[in-house]
Amino acid sequence: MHDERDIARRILVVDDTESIHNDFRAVLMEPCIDTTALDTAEAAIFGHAASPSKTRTRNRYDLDCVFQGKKALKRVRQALCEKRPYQLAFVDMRMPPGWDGLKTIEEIWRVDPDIQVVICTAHSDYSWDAIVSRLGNSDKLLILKKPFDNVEVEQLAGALTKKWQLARAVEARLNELEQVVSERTQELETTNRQLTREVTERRTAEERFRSFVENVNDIIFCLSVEGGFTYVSPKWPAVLGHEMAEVLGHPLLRFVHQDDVGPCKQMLQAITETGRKEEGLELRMLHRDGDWRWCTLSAAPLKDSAGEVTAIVGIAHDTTRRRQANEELQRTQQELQQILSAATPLCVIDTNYDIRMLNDTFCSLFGLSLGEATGKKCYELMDFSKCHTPQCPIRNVMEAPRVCQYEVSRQNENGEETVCLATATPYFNMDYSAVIGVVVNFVDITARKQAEKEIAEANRKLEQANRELKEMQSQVVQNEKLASIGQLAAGVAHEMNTPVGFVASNFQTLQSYMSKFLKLFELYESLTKAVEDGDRDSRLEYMHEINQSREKMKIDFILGDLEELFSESKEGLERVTDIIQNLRDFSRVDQSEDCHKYDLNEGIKTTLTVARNELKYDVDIDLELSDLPQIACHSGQINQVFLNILVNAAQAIKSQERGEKGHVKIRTHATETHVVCEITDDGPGIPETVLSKVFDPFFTTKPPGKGTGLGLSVSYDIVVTKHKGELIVDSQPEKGTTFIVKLPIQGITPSKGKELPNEEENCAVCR
Amino acid sequence: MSERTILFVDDEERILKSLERGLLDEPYRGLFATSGKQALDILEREEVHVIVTDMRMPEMSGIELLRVVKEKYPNIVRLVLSGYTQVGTLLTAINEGEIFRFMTKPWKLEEEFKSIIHEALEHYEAQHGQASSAATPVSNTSSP
Repeated sequence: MHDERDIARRILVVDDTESIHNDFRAVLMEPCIDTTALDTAEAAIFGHAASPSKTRTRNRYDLDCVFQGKKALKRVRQALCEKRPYQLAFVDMRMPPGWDGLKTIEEIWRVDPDIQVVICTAHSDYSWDAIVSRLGNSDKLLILKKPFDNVEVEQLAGALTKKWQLARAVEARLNELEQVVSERTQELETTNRQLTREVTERRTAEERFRSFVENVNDIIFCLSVEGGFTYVSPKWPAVLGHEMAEVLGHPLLRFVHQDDVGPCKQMLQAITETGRKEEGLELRMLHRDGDWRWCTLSAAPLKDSAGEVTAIVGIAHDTTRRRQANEELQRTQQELQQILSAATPLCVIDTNYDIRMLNDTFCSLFGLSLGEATGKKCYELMDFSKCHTPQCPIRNVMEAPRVCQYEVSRQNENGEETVCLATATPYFNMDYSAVIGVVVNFVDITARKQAEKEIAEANRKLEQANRELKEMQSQVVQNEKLASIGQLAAGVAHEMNTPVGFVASNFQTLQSYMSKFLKLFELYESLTKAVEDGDRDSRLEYMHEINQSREKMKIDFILGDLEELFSESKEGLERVTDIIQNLRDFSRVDQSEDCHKYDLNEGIKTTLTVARNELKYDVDIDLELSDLPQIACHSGQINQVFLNILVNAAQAIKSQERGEKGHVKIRTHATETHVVCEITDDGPGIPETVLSKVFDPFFTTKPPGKGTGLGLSVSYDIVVTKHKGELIVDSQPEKGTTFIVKLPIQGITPSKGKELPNEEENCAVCR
Repeated sequence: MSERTILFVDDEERILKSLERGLLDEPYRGLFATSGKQALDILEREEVHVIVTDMRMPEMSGIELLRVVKEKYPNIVRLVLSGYTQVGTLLTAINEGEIFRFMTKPWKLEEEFKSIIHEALEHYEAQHGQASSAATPVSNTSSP
């Protein structure tokens, strides 16, 4: 609040009359009258002790005088701008030619509504009512009737300026009060809001708490100090099956398994006595269906302000499922452990290369104890060349998850090496988003490795043996060929011995014939000479001698025999020639091993000629030969096949000692693709047990020294391998045996062709 | 010494013929058979002192024939003329036939064959000459 004495009391006089201005100046600028009364009033109003009487100066008022309303308005505005507002205006009612008093007041108030106004009028132009209706019923308006008394003016000036000041003071005070009230109100509102919020929060919290209590899966309860239920949360029926009514008011212990009643009692007692909470008692609680449910019980005391325990609150957590799950888990773990123990050696390595898990078989494989192996890094147990390198398989599997196989080895302290085939499989976290380790399982391949090594060695030896065997086989085949040639030679020798025998004998006889003829010739010559000489005695003597000699030398027989001797000898020589020719045809000794055109019928005939001596005493041969196309083959080899089959047949028949000749039928025919020769004997047949072996090398039923056991084996090789034909045997014991030789008409490619194996074989045979 | 008789057996007639003409001047009689059966027939009728047979013949082999001869006519000296020279054949002939000589085809008529026949005849004379001449009517004419 400002001191009104510091503020000049500004008064504006608005009057069109100069004298009036002077009057006001005279009144308000003159030394004032005693103002004690005013001071006293002031003291009474503003509550301070009346100031000692002071001497008021005449220039108490700052007085401005104007002649017209507009001018007055201007001044008011100016004063407001200068923050030195006018407090009081004396306004003349009539101020021609400008605004009259009312208009002026209206305008002034429009600008400064606080200003006190005194209307000065000589004659009432307007009634009070008119003024009021025009300016409103204002306490800031007074009417001063002209002519006015100086004192009146002075009092008016003093009172109204005071009133203005008081009004300002009140205004200021009011403003202050308003300010205070406003602040207070704000404070109150803040407090109110806070309270409202707290109330809301509390309500929410309570709601939440209730919801929690009612919805939590555990049973929450209150007990009286006596141990009876005063509250149970609505989960009870869900957990233990009872209706609320069956529980409330009943003692807790009634629902506790008798074995657990003791501990439960102790718990409650402890809470009551110590006033502290107790936690985690495992006990069985009765379900309405008679089963027992495992629960974990925790409880705490409720106390009054004096600290006395008035109730107990508790929470029971149904752990039945957890226990079951736990048991399940334990069982699973135990199963897993068993499976793990029985499984192939394996270990689990985490991303830090720590071995997280391993099984017994792993330990025994690597010769470790569980203790040695646990807590080690993988490279400490299985050091191998790829550890700590970019080729580390564990690292690779973790970086690019996939299954990886590699070999790893470990030496034990005895220097024995264990080689394993390791399979590293990544394993993932629950959602398969990241690799968290690697499962490595091991297969001991030490033995396999060793076996592989041994196999390789054995293989090498086998190959060596095979090479040797092949060499030997080619030798054996060669031997067989020689043997059959030898056998054949014996037969052929006999065959030739007969004609050579009688031809040679005849030749010697012929010599003796010749010497006889020469002797006789001499006698005849002597006789001729005696005839020429005319010696008759001698003639008769020679004649006699000649006749004697002729008789003695059996000349007549000789003469009769000569023709026969020559024809028989000639025939004998032809036979030998024939045999030699056939022998040559048979074996083609004068030709290369190339294949050539071959008439199977001719081949059979040739073979029969050659083998005749072998066959003729034991078998009769029936031939049923059809016309056949020529084929390309190694004729010598094919003839050898026929010889083998025929000689076998003859020998088999002979072995029966049946006392008469057997029969062999040879039939030939052609199919579209093959020429076929069937050789059927009526010999003893081949027992079923040996039928499958007849083509095996060295298989023979003949006594030692009688056969090489290679004849049919070589035959098979010739027909099937070299000529791509078929050699079939069919036999019925005691009935006989049939061999069927089928040769492709198209023949085989010449031995200089591309069929290397054949060529090799041929070479082997020819060498 | 009366004329001796020699029986030749071979399934090859030309062999027999060559022998007949080759032994034309020999001092013994030659008889010829082309099979074992025919030989046995001749033995039934004729007195034979030496028999020369082939080995391999159809129906009855030389071995079989010699076995019979040895049994029925043990005095006859048995010889073989064969083209077969395999050891087995030889052994069988010698062991089972108890033959005097084994001759091979082809034979050397003058140098070998005739002398062996002579040896056989001499062998016969040495073994059975007396008995035989006493037993046979022919033996009476033996003296010159």
